[in-house]
Amino acid sequence: MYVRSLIRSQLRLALICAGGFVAATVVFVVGIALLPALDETFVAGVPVSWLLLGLGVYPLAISVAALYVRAAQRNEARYRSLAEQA
Amino acid sequence: MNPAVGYAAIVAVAAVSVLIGVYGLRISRTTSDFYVASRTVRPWWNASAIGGEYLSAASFLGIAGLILLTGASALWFPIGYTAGYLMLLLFVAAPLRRSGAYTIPDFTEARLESPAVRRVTSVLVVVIGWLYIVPQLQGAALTVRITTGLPSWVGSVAVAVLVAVVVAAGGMRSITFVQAFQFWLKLAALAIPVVALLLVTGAVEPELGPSAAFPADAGPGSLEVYRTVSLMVALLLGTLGLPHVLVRFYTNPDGPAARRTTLIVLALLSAFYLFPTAFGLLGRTFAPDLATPGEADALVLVLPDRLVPGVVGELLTALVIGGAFAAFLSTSSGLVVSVAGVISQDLLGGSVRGFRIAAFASTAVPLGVAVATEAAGLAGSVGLVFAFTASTLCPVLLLGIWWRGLTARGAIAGMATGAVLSAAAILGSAFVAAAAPGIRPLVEQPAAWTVPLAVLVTVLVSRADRRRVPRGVDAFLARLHLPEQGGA
Repeated sequence: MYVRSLIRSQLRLALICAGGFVAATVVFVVGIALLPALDETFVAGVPVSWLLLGLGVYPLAISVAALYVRAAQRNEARYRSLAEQA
Repeated sequence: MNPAVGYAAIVAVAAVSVLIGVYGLRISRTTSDFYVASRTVRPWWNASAIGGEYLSAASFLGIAGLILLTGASALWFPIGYTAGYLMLLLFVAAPLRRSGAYTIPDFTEARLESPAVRRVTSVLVVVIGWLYIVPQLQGAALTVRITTGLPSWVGSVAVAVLVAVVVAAGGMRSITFVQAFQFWLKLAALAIPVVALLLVTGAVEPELGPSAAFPADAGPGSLEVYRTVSLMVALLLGTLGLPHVLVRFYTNPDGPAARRTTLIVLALLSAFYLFPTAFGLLGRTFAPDLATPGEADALVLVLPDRLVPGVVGELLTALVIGGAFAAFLSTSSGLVVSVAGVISQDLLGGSVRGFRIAAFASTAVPLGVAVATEAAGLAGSVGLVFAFTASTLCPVLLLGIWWRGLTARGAIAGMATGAVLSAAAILGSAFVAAAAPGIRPLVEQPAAWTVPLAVLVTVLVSRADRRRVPRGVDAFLARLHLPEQGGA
């Protein structure tokens, strides 16, 4: 019984993290597209819009991944303590 | 370009790879060692090895070439290649490690209690492995042609022979060392030239001004929505099914270690992709004449020699060539290990001798294809392999790990649907593009519709077949998701 609820909570966590990453990326990219001024502003000879798309998504992915690892571990710890009580 | 530099770099990388492979041979003795390196590999080593295995010709040469050729839309390739590991972490890493299976066919057979599913999965793993080796050998052909002036086929044959020998001699334990070494070699081989180029470019007159090098109509704001979404589906989900990547997860000691490894991989890849991106951006400013389909992939090899004069430029060129060869060797050998593992277990009885025979067989087929076909863009052809993988192995893995209703028939129907649809789209794309240009993006970038259809067929057939849900499913799922005994 606890097993099924562990699987459900791990799946929910994974879906939330995946959805959050995709949503944040879409917002980020649409934001870049809606600000044409970023195409005209150059840093080191490269438009800021190119730099943002080329560099910006990686920190996002790493952050989501780090949050997920901690949350997944917490779900497992909660399962352990429930299973020990039972 | 000085051919001696090319020869020296290629011979040096080949010699080091063989030496490390032979050293590993002394350690790997038993069959278990051969397949999963005894499961004693630490997360940092393991993550480096995954990075070493994963960063292929497409990453090392293809991304910079594609940025030069098409502009900001190419920036999505490294994003997808990296974020695929986020999906792997979220949905696959820990459960797959806990399944205790060696390979994807082992996993699907154990999960669905069906030898038929195993056979279908094995065929797909072999096909995917071969498809993925082909662009590596084509990358080698390009590198040898550009840097030494020898005919293209010499590069393909050299890499194929080296890989077959190293894999057959060492098995996977040695490959773990080789792969970890190759990740750091590849990183250094791009990072050092990029730093050097950034130092000298202040004094070099750009070929194009900023607005001409980065026109807004090739910029991030003007992307084709369908193509980008479909590419992302392929890259994010295709990573879940790559056989040479998944096999590395069995070398983690437990589920939490598998998660830590994946997180480190994500960070390593993010750091690595800074450099091909920088190469591509530099190329748009300093080498716009290379922006033709046949030549763009050589940008990384050519740029240091153009911008940095004298001996320093030649040393940087040697470094880049060495890194490129490390990319072809490491990805190909990882793939050959997976393909040979599947062939030897399913056809040759799983002995060490069978593994060696299979290693030679699984290098020969893609070599034939690579020599017979013309290389398209490297990043693009690897992208298509991801689309095929995402449409075939990914639905079965995801549903097998998270949905107790999956049945053997559902899995086979879904894999067949995904394989037929995506293969037809990819093979027919040239024909369709001429006959019906309106649907060209749909066939050239098929993952956005082939993956959902494969999932749908898998689910519908499984529902119709629900009396055949495997009896052991609850125990199996419990093993995938429950934390290991002991350690709190």
